[in-house]
Amino acid sequence: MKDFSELVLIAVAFLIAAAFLEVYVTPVLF
Amino acid sequence: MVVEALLFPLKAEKNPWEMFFIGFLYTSIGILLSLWIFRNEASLIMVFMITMAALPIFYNTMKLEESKDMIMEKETAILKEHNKAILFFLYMFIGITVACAVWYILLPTSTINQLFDKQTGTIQSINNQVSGSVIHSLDIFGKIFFNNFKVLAFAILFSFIYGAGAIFILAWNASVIGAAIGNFIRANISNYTSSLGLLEAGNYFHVVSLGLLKYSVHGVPEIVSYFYGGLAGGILSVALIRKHFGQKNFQQ
Repeated sequence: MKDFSELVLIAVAFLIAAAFLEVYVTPVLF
Repeated sequence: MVVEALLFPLKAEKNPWEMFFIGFLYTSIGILLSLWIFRNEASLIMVFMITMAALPIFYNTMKLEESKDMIMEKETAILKEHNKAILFFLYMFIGITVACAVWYILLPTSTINQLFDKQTGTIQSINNQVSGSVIHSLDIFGKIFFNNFKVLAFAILFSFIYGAGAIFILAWNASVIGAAIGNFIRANISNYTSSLGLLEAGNYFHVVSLGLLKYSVHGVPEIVSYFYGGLAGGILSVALIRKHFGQKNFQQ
């Protein structure tokens, strides 16, 4: 169960990183 | 070698790059069959075909990862093992995306309109959402995050219900990204074909690298997130089926 929540937390962290890149980094680069 | 990788995720985890070719092969077969049998509904049938082909390796991987949870004690070691599965899923995803992009570029326009009908509609609606509203970037950030979070929740739910159901969401996303990349490259190729000269080849490759990079900047972490979510849901599903859920090793 602990492993499940850890995997979900990692997934959410990646989602935050993806949204940040999409909004703030991609428009600057392209 | 490819068939072995299909049946034994342990072997596939050792050579994850092989999954790229498997993904490419599954997609090519899926496209061929959907165009051949269900031409009018090819855009969705193609995704189902890819899902159907990828289900055995996905489900076997879920079982393997769940058994690692039961055997291994150290949390960091378990996560390190899960990362191997994530890597080979990622290679497969890239294989599906590249195959979609390649077929989008190569096939005639009338066929593309049928084959990527739903995907094109999705891309257009995303573009309209982004360009149609002039709001603060923080609002866009929140909108994008919660929209992606919804997809993550579905990936976990699908994996939990079907064991490896997240593959459907991943195959769909791969086909949308592949269509977007293919469209970007194709549009630019048509622009450059009008201008003749030695620079043509250089321009062609320049467009390819730009197209891939534009979508991969945020696309890669987004997809990795869905893989982690899918793996989490799948492990939980397998643990319930194997009645490991209440056991001490799984609860830790």
